[in-house]
Amino acid sequence: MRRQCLVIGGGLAGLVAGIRCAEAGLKVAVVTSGESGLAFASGAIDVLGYMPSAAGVHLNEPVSRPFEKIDELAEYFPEHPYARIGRDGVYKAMDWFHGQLAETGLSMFTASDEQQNQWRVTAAGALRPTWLSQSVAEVLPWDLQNVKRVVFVNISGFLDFLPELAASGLKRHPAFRNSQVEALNIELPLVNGMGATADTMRAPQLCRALGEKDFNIIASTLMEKVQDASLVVMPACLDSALDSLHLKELRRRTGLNIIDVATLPPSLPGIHMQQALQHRFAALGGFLIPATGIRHGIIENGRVFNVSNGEDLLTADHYILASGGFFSKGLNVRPDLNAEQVFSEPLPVKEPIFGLDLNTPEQFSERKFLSRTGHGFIRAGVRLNRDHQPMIAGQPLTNLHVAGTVLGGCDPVQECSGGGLSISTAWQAAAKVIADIEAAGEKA
Amino acid sequence: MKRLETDVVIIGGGATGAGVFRDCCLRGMRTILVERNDIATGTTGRNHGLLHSGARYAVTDGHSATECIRENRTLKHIASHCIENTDGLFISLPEDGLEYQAKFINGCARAGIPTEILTPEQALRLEPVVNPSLIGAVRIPDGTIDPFRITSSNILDGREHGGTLLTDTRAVGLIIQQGQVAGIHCLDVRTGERYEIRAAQVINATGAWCHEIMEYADLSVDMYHSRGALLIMGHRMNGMVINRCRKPGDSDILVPGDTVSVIGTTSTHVGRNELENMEVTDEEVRVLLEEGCKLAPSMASTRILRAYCGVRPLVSTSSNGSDRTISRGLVAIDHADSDNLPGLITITGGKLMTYRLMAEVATDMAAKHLGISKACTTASVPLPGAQGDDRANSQSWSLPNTVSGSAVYRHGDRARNFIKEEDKNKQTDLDKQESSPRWRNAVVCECEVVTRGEILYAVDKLNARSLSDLRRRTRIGMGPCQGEMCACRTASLLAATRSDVVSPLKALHEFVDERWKGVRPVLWGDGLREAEFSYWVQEGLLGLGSLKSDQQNDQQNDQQNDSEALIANAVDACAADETLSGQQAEQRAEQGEVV
Repeated sequence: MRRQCLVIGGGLAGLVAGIRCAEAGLKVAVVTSGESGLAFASGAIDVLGYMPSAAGVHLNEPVSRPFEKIDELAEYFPEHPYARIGRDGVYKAMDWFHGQLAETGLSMFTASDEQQNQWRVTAAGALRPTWLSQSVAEVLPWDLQNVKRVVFVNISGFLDFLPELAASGLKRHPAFRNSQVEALNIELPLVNGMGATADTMRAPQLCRALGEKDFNIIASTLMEKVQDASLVVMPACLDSALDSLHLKELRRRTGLNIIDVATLPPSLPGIHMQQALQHRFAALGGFLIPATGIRHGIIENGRVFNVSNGEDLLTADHYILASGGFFSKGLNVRPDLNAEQVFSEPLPVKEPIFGLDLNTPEQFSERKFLSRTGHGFIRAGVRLNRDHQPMIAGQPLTNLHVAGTVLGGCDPVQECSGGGLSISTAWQAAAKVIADIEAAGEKA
Repeated sequence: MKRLETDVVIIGGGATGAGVFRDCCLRGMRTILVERNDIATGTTGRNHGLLHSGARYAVTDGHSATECIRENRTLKHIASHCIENTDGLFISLPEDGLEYQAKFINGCARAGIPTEILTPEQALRLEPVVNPSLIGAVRIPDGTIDPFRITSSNILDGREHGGTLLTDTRAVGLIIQQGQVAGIHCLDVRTGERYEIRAAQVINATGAWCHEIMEYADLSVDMYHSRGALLIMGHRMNGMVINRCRKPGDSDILVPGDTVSVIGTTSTHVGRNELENMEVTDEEVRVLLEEGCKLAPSMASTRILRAYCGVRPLVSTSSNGSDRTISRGLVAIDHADSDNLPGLITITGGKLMTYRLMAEVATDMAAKHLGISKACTTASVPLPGAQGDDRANSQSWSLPNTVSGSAVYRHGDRARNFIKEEDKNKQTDLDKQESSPRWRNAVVCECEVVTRGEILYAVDKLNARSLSDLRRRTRIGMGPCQGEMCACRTASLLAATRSDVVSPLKALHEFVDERWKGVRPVLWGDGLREAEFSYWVQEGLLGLGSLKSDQQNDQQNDQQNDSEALIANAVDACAADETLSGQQAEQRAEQGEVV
């Protein structure tokens, strides 16, 4: 079967690109080496939480209306991926993505004003601006006024939610200085746990171990102990299905404003999103090739001819590279120990499949790990020419398109923009493939 | 001003200071140890962890070789839980020739170090990671020693015999009255409080920093500070210690230890102003890898976990010569004899291997002045943890082997103080004070199998006051993930149970930056992958960085500057103090006046 498009990478960007192509009726495959970064993601979708500046991000001024800020961003940072897509493009992509998810049964919500950001509470008690949240919307008011009591509630013994740390973390936030913030642990029998205890479980196992009796104990304990709480934060381990029925039921029974937030990896909201996107891709007729790591590409006359995992060749008319950053092996650094100068500056970052031209930061890393400036290596990625094409030694590749983290050019961690970047760049790459195929069809 | 009274005050909580602390306490002296940071944070925590047989010095320094093999045997007896009897190989590569091997075997014989000559095939069978092009090998009784653990055990024993440990406490001056040292001025670095410790004997066990204390009494010593860099490999590559059979040089020892292997060292002279905040250079990493690959070629494709460096406290005896020719022997100065200044003893030079011997020599000096005749017993009485064979007992615990094995490996017979046993009749201190002891065996750090019980035990009994302290007591966060998740879990555990002793968020941020310092010089390959993953989790998923606002960041910098200024002021004030006559100072002190 001749594929019209082959997407390399099955993370957020890869699946989005695949879905967009499949939706347009293309014969498309997504090839993936294994689990992606989604398995440790928060499950919320950020667009832009903080404006970048020359010296990092403006942390004291969270962005309240992310789409409106994109023009300003493009002016100061023309190399930023959002600058190439533009405000309207980013909004269209995100709105389309929201619609696609609605088809999967995974409910995601914007704030009541859909142009507006909302707060995501983390398992360590930090607040991060986000655009789409899973299960419940706007649990905290954007101005954070009148939040009297917040309780982080854990299942006793479970190690991957950090209620006591979160309580002291949230207490540091100026808006919560006069609020009551505390931790509560609930002992549960874990009726479906087959005798195993919570300390031996990660979030997905804990989720499977919970039974009706456990939910009853959670509900009655909350009613007894935290009835006046403005917000109850629980680890995301309540629902194994995408519909959040247990969380909704718990909210209904207690009348409390309860949210479940991503735990330490693996995180259920992230896994749920991966499942939802994979189902959607399959439902649209896309073909997923699992457990296949693409190792190199063969280039002929400025076009990718085919790609290989070391054994088999995969061929398509168009390719979308969504292979991720260093963690996902979309980029790597390996100093040559036999070279004259082993540690050249900057370190030799490589895109291992095609050997694409890259932008590498002058300063690869900062002295402090949680630096406000953000690390240079996060910004490393594929260099595009004016026509948004990747290049090898300055020569453009006409049928290869690049999306997601492998693009670099900004710091999605500091900006709170990771989800939006992956989605909008993938949406745009797929749009280009669709347009090229249509144009070729017309010509023929 | 607050004032403490004691017989002996020791400055410096490295292996030597801890050894002196134990020795003094066992001989019945009232003893206080002050350490400006945490125990084992200077040279002690920044070396190979090699239990020398002495073979390395057999050709160049016969005296050190003899000292080493004697202490090697002693430590195997008193600190079995800190030591692995791995044995070691001295391999000869084609470029080394076999000429040195003959000298080496003679030197070992003179020092009383047993040797066994192996063929290349025999050596490869024993240690498959060794460079297959070797032309000869000698087996000697090298081993590995955990420097954190041995220091902690000495401290623990001292405290159990009545001694007092004061960490985060800096000696900022000596109290000198009527021509003799009568104690020290201290600064509590955490609270900023200044106070005095009056003592009949002050023992300066600050190693590479000993000149700073001596300067408080206008004394000087000709230190030769030699910096050594090392790399920690991502897993344990070798079972035995591997050395090059040639004159000691750069990067020619590969030491296994716990779950990792360590390659080192380099040797560079550094000035006395460069002892703090040393960072490993690219050139050092290059030399270590290049030479290390000659010992074990697979190092080229092995993940490097981190890089670090320490400084050797060598004392110059002649003006020329590089540090490899200066003796690694100990230097003990009784300033009563050498400078007519009774009350001050300096113990420096030497090395981790001879810490106990150094402690004995220094304690003997103090004992003589105090008129104490009780003999040293530290060579025969095992340390806490080495007093029973719990490796056998642990088999009966209903726990996975990884959990019980790691606990006993690190804490010997003391592991039973924190392992939760099914048997309800066996109650430990922790059981009585904890509301839900059933989570005791919960594994918080998967890489190194550290349990919740072990963490609480280290806080309660081993004076751990931060995540970095806990790392030194338990190995938490030392494995392949470098504390990515366990640091957060531990911070939350401490917030829940020990927030009176530890400030969890501050400890977490400090810990994350400390781990990063060692990763940065080797940021490539899988180490970089791990770093990016940690960054996404800690910053992206959890938002740890934002738990410090800009304002708080600034405040924190100010605080840091403040504490540096505080120390500088305190030192100046003490210096001024010493210009007063002893009597005036005495009066001031009695009036409780803050100077």
